Amino acid sequence: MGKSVTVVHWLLLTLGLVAAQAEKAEQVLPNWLTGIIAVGVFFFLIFVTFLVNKAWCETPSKPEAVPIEYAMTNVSTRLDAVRSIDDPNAYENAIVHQTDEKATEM
Amino acid sequence: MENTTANHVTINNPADISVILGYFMVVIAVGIWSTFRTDRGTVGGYFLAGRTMVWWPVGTSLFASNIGSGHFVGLAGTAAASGIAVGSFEWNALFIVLLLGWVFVPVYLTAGVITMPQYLKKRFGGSRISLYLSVISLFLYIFTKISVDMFSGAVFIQQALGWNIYVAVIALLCITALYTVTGGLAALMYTDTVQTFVIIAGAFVLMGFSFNEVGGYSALLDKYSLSLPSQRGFNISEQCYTPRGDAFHLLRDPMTGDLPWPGVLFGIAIIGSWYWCTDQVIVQRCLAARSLTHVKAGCILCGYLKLLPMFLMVFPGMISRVLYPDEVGCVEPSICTKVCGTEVGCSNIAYPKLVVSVMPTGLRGLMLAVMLAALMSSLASIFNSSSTLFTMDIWTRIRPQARDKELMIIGRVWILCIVAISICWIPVVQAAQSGQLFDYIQSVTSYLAPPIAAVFFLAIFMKRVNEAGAFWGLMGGLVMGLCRMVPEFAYGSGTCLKPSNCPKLICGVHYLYFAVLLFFCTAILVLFVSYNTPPIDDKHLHRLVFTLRHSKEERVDLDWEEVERGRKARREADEKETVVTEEDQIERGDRSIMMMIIGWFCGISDTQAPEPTEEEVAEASKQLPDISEDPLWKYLVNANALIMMSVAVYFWGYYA
Repeated sequence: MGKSVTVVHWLLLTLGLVAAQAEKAEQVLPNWLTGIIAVGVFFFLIFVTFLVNKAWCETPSKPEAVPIEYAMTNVSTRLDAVRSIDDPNAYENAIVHQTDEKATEM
Repeated sequence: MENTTANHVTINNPADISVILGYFMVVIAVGIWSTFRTDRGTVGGYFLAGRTMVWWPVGTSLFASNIGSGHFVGLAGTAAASGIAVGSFEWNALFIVLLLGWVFVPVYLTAGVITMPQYLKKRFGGSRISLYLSVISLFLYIFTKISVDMFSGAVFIQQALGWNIYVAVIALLCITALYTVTGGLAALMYTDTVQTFVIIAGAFVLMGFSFNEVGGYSALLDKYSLSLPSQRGFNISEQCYTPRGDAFHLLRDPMTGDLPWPGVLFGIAIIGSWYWCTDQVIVQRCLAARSLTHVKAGCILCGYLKLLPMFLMVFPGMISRVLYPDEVGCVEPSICTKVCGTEVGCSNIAYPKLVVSVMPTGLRGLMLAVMLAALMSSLASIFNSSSTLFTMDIWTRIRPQARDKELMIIGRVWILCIVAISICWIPVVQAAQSGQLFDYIQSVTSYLAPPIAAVFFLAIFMKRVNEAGAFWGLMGGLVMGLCRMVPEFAYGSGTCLKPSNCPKLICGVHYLYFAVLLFFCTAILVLFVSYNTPPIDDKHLHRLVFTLRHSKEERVDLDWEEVERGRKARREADEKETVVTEEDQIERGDRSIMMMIIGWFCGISDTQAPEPTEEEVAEASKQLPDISEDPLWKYLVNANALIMMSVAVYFWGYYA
């Protein structure tokens, strides 16, 4: 959701500029009003994106649900080990070597 | 370069000195406390603070690592010269930091990488891309971040204490190196929280005093356009010393503006994406978080904090010009040389001048502490991350059998090397920037960073992009960037009085437009080469691209050969060592006391755990990093992000 919102932001700022350019010619709108208009347009675009998201992105997600659940049951027991904060192997990377000593800080 | 203004004040009274000492006490105490608090036994613990950080150290560390003394001096100086548009660099980051938390970090977390070149190595295979990225990142660190921060810190010390600029630089580096050597990432992140408080508190105080001095916000709006220097030469055109008409607008004319609005919206976004989403310094702090929710909350906190520099640095910079137009706004070369030592302009002294002239005794010490906080936090982070890059990506290729002790020593030696190089680069920084430091950083960055941002975006979102495409895209982008950067530096950037001879074709395009152009050209080149070469199979890409970030399937790493070679080399080195020490133990007596003290101070110990066997490695690789989120917290964090974006949009609209 984040990235589509960020795209929306750019659209919004472009619109905001149009408003600003118009303002330079007329000098009618006070600053705070431009700000509020910009926020209003932003919310509207968020709403539109949300609707598009709901309508369009619902169907493709269903067929994927089954294989993921299958994979999930196999690894669910190991996830507990992964979630543990104290487990030093929690995010072990193939390249990273394990050491138990007090390694140096930089 | 000696400072000769009549009214520079030395910080030599008890109130100032006690404030500075108090600041150092607190920072050192927090550093020591945090070293006991986190377990630094594993490499994950050492490089990534054990992945135990909650959201507030993540957020404040992001802010403190980003805000350096270069911001204080550069933002304020450029604002004094050309108005508030430079603040758009900061306010653009509000959105980019959300991109980091929602799009990039989930992929980096599931990929299970520590450094960005490592991510590219896993994603594309081969080693030339990661080598190129390491080298160019180190280059950019030295020439944009480190030298600029040191130069700004030194300018400040020179104005406040009157020391010679090189003495000031070396003193700053000694303090920072000490700080870096004794603290791990955990210590850095907790002390960054202290630094953030100090920076914001001190800067707020200065802002209060400055606004008081100038007569309020509306007074600033009126007086700024009237602040002209009293001594202007006869043949200096008026536009060189008159404040800009659009000084209080963020979005300026696309053709004649000094920061045109399409460049501001899109160019700064591209540079920002490189800085926040693909750069080791920033990403490392996000990877140290406890869970993805904490990353996102930390990013939101950082976003809110990034609202402040406009008010804390940009406006005071403009106030400085209003209060001291003959010094900060000087235009006559001989006068400028007398004031600050450079004949091109003295806008860089805007912030230090305020500190020295407006702040009462005792608070000047606080501001020096603020500058030190900003400088030390960002320099320490950069040193830490660049030595991570060098040891993990470059040194392990040269010597795969290197063990931890050797890596730690190499890391420290590397820090000394980059510090030496950065000191040597300072004269170039002094000469190259036409009195506008921030512009210098941003222009160098916009010639070199967009190809990297393009490759990372494509790497994360498009599975079809492969190694050949990415490599040739990076090379093409580098050539294009150098074609612009080398002539511009050769001809000199020029000033208003003496414009540069650089041909219009090369230097006529604004650097922000060039960044957009470079980004798209690189993207096109990458896609073109990728589609003409064989694709990378899905089985190599699980949890390395955005669409596959939740996939739980086994991944065949593209770099497994190299990893295996390294592991074998380390196992062989282990076996050799056990043979040697068995013979040695009988002969060697006690180690000298001196060696033990040095070892304790630097944190280097003799014991080395053995390289894990193949079975242990296979077991470890089956544990997948977790990026699932609690649904309630996920919605809360998303809602918070929306609120922050609305606040950002309001301010953009207000100042557009």
